[in-house]
Amino acid sequence: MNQLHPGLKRLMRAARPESSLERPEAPAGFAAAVVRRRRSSEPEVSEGTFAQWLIFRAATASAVLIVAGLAAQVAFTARPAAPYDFTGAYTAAIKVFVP
Amino acid sequence: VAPWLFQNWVIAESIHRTDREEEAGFDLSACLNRVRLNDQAAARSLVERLYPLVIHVVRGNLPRLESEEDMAQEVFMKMFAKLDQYEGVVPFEHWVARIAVNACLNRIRAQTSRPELRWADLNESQIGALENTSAGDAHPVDSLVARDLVDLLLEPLSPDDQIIVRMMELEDRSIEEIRQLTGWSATYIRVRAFRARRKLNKKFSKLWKEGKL
Repeated sequence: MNQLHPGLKRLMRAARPESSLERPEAPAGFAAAVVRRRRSSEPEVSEGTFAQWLIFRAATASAVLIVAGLAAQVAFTARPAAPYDFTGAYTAAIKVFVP
Repeated sequence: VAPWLFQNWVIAESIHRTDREEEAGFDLSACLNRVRLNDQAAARSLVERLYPLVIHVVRGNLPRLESEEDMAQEVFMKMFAKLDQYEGVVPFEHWVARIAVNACLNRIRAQTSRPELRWADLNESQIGALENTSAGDAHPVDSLVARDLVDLLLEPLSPDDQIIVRMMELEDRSIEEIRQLTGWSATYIRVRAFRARRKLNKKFSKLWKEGKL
């Protein structure tokens, strides 16, 4: 691997940040400022938003119920008639067995 | 309403737990869970805990004339925004350091490219520092002036080259460390470092010749 020019290497060495053994502490109020900024950047959940969410969910549930009811009704009315006709037998049975 | 009540209960419970934890030592995973539940106290303690790491990365890779504190704040904002993406595969500190490096890299990319540094652009203290470094180790150089000069010399390089040179030459990081921090391959880092050094040597020699004329 190639090396830096000696003068440039010395310049780089001089430019190195001081390696202090102490851990730099956050300046006073830094963490609070970050947390405040984070809170302000988050979308707030207002009452209006909650009402919108509730209305949307209620409308969806109502629509599902209506569609399911209509489907059940259509299925019931469109049911094909029984393939056998028992009307004659029923009339005869009534005449014979019912006093 | 139930999730809201549960969330508030968890936050209240976690706040009461903070004092006990401070005595027992910092529990990172518990702190992260509380931050995810919007616990402000936990977020503050996380920022305070990670500040030394973030400011170290920012100081090493920050472009010229940028505010360290602003950059550190930006890094923390990104960390909070991406917190749900942290899966615990790598240590949390490594994950945050990578966010910090990427933020610095983006800031460098956003800067408009500057023309090559010329001897006539240097002020007296910068010329003095250059002469001292070229003369040998016996002459001390002000670290701030030296840092300013290095930033000026690095500016015409590409953002990736700048980050690699800063990490290798200013922070004395190994290729493996740079690989972990940037996500680049070791080959890419080696090649970029080789080319960046060659360009820097050329620029430095040219600058020095200009001064001697």
